[in-house]
Amino acid sequence: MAESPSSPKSEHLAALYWRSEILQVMYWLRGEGFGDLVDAGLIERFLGVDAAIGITYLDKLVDEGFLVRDLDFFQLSPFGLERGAMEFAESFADLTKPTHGECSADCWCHASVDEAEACLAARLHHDHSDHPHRH
Amino acid sequence: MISLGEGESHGYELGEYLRRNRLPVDLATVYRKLQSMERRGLIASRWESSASGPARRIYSLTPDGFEKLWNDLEGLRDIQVRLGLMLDAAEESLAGRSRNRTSSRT
Repeated sequence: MAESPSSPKSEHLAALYWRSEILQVMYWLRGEGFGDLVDAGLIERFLGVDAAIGITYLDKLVDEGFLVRDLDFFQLSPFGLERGAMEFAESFADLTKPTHGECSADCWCHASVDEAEACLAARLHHDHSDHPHRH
Repeated sequence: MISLGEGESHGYELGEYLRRNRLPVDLATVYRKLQSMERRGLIASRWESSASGPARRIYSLTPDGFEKLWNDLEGLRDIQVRLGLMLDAAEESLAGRSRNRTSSRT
């Protein structure tokens, strides 16, 4: 079994693709309560990438600082964990952003939770059209 | 998809649902199926943060997923009805042959 048919074929894109896929599996397993230790066999079972190929990507992630290697096992490094938290924050962003029907698409209150809270506070005291936050 | 039709869920819980229904699959299969269904737009996922542990990926059916599930359920019901009719006919035939054998002996 080689790499999955849907994976990119160029070396650079393939490296980015497998980095994302491997880290996603590791965050997923961690979220399900299975810890964050993986080996090439597990990556093969979960991602369908040949273990011999998978291990080269795992080693690349070690070189890039995402993982720490301990013999045959790989674990998320503090940097890898931080990177995961950033990815989660990005995926939460759409959920945490308010959807004020009265605001225009470029309203600042869509850009951050702080701005949204300020906007909400202002709306409680004033008509939304003249709330003090920036547009 | 049937489990997700009842409400959103996460990987381990979906694996347990299958095991409870006598369809044991390993977690890697659950993961790969979820990834595949998400790429096909049948399910969507989000990360749910937890105060007590790491963030967990939660899956739910998309409108396309609901439609596919509904169509699949209709198809499965149809198969269930046809299988039921086949089994009834087979039972009736076997019962008839059994009666004939018994009466020919007496």
